[in-house]
Amino acid sequence: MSQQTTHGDDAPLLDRIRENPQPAIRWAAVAAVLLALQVGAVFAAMMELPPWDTIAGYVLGVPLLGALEPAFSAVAGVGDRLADVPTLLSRELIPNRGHRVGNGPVFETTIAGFDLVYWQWDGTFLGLPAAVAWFVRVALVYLYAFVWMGWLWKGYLVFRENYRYADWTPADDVIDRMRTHRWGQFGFVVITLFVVMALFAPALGPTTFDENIDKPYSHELEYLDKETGEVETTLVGNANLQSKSRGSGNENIGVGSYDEYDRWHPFGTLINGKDLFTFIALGSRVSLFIGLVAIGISSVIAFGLAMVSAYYKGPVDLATVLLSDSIQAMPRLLVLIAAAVLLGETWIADIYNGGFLLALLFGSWGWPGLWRAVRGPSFQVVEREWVDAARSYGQTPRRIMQKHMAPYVVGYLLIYASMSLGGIIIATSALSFLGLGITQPTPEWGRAISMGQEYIATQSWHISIIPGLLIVIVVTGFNALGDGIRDAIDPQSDSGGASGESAAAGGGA
Amino acid sequence: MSKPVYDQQETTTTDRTGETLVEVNDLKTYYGSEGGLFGGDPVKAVDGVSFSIEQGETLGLVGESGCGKTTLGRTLMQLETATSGEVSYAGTDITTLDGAELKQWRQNVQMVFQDPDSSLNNRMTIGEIVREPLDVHGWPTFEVGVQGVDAETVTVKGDMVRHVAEAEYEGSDLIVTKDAQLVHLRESAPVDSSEMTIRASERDGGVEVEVTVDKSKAQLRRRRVRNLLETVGLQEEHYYRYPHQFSGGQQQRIGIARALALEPDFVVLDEPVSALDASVQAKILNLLEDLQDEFGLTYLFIAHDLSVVRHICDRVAVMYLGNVMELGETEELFTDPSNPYTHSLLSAIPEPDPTVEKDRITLRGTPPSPRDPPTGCSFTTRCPMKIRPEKYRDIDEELWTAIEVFREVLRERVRAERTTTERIREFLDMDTRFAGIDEITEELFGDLDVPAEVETHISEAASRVADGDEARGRGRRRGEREGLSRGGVR
Repeated sequence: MSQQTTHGDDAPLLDRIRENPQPAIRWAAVAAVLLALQVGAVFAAMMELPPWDTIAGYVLGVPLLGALEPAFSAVAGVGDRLADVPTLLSRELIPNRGHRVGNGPVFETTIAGFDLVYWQWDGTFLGLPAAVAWFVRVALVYLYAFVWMGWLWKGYLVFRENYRYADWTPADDVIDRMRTHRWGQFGFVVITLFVVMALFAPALGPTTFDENIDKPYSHELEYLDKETGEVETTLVGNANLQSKSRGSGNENIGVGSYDEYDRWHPFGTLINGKDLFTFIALGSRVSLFIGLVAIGISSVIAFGLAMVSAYYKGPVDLATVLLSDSIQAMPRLLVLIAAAVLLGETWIADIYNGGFLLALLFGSWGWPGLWRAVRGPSFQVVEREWVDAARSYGQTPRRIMQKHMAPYVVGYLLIYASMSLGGIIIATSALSFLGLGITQPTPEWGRAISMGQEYIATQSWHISIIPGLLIVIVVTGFNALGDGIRDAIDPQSDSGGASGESAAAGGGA
Repeated sequence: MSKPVYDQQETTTTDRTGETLVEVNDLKTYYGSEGGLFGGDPVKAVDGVSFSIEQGETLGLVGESGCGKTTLGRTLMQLETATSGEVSYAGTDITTLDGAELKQWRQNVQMVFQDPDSSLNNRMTIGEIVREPLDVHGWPTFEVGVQGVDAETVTVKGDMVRHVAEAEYEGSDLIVTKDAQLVHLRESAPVDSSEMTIRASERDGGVEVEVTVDKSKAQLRRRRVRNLLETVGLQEEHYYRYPHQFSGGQQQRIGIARALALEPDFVVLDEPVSALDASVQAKILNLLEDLQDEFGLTYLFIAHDLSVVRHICDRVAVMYLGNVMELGETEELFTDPSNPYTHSLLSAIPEPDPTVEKDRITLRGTPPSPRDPPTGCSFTTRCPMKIRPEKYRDIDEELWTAIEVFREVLRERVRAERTTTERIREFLDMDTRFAGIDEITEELFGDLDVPAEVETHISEAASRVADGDEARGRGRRRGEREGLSRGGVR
């Protein structure tokens, strides 16, 4: 065969973009604008989230690297300055904290039995009432998130139309099936709402963690005293004491109401007068963090073992079976409690108020279930002839697992992982409810439920019911998403067995 | 169809050199010989096979399903571990290779699989599939020979080149002089002479030659894949398509392109056309023949379709129960088979002309279990030509058949899997489905006129079986068999 040919050698993606830059530039420009709106927050997150001080302490402790300290602090300085760039969705740009201006309401009427009272406000966004200002901010946050998602989708379409060589890939079919799967889409929307809440938690709450929950006696607030008509100043802690929801008499700040201190509470207050919405928004971060870290650890272990035991079979598989069986034979809740108590005094428990420890425990105890779910598909795919073909030309076991087995199994993993994520969220809340999980003051949904359980039958029902309902909705959302992914990846599978699996996963705290 | 598939008159003439490429010596591949949890006999899939394959020929391997021909092919490919025996490829025993040596050797030997749908990973594009062997072996590596200087003093530099000594000039990709002049570039080399730069310099009394190629490895590989696709009759646009966008025949072409990617010498074709329909079969077979002529390939063609084998093979080996029963030149074997099994196999070829009267030899029963093959000739249990002992020549034909059936029943009973309940029932002396040897004897021999001598042997065997129900071990079964053999039923 003649090898000297006139075939064009194909170009890498960058060259393809260079050839026809228009669509890519157009897409990137809009994406840049979107990113610029929030660039300050992105940098703030980068400066805040990893424990830089600890890392620097370790790194600079090493003799030679100590010389790099000026460079480190320079980088840190730049990062801090970038973090200060104002962002569109910050509380500073659209503040909802303020107080009413004296002289009584500007406008007062009754429509269909509802009293409409409109006050002039001081300190809030455009002088709007605190509730409206808060609502504007929340709406903007979600709008921003959904615009981003839409734009990413658009980016995929641009790539597909202009830069991809293949006119069809298996992923296209998966996406097409997902597009007609309403239940999966419902799950997707719920999960998006949840994830956005977790990501933007500080901007979403009507007040902040620091001011309202962590250090209420270090912050002051101004409010209009309606009896005297004067603007007064008081400590947030004192205001909280006057805004408790304890069911009886006038001790209740319910859903969607103001307290005496001109503060807006979308979900009402907790029994100690702290804001429930702020608590829940921040709690969603904790739940998501624990869920993702735990499922990440489980997935890595389960997937790795499934690949290895399916490829090598025999004794390796037997050892894995024995290991997973012995882990599953232990009473999970008891082990979790024992480990949580045992490790409670160590440094691991200090990270994220015990959140990391919980994630670690859930992760290292949760993999047998996932492994069992993906073991079957792994054994199936290893029998396919293309695996033999790959062995026949000398492909390494690692690459065979990566290229010829993993793509067929990772879908199953995704399904079961998204389904057990709900179970982990429930389990975390259950532990917090028992007083074993996340410690004070880090907010956790389970603790709100446990706080409010005495008041369920009173007018302060919101303390337990709202976080409880949210857990149900989020867990359902994850299951729906898992169903959707499964049907999209593997249209032949029936939907009977897996939902039973998720129920089992959900119940096993 | 451009060419009739079953053109039996056509004789295949290929460039057979007479040099032996692959030699198989008493090769055995057993499954389950590791013992497992409960021990037991291993499955003797390949049980002592010897043959050799010449450079450039096509050796056919035929036999019914389960006779071990695929296992043999897989053992030759080192996809199964041989239990004993040796496979020597160009003088090296490959059953002892491992690690880097094995990987190196795998370049020379490739396989085309039976089911094209299953042998192509359908999450990868055609381009990726055909390219994978190239990626695995870091293809291309050009073999460079330097003319006119002592090979010892030459160093060759460059990230795609390897120096070869003078002895290998014939197979090397390019030959240069010590003045950096290109003398010879192999015609099928994946680069053009304009795409490479050769520099030479004197150093420490030696010569240093540096060969740089303008194209990256990735580009060369993609180009190679496109060429391969064209070679097997596909279009280069197919590069970015996925396997299931193709028909079965096209998929098999992709499988062939992948097998050819590393320019192998020996290709194992494991029933490459049996999953395809007849018109496509012809095309693939012709393609395989063309490729063999073009690249001088050696084929081991595994098949159960005898007319296909006759069409494409130079020599044919007939397998039965892990053994090669007969091996010979294709035409000789088809016109004048010497083994009874080959005879009966050939008699099963359908005749297109319905008016032709044909002597079909129908074999009784099924092949014995490969866990427990008969001693001696493995075909002995079903052989229609079995020679009776002198003493029993005059036994009635019907009775002889009944005795054979009786022997088969005994063998089946030993082979049958027992469930736990059945074991317990046996232990407790209760009835099992294995009971009732008397009824069987009655049914088989009841209507027949059994000579007294034969009668004693049969009843002796039957009573032993009846006893053996409690503790049925191999030893006792041996006893049965000997009991019968001594009686001369064999």
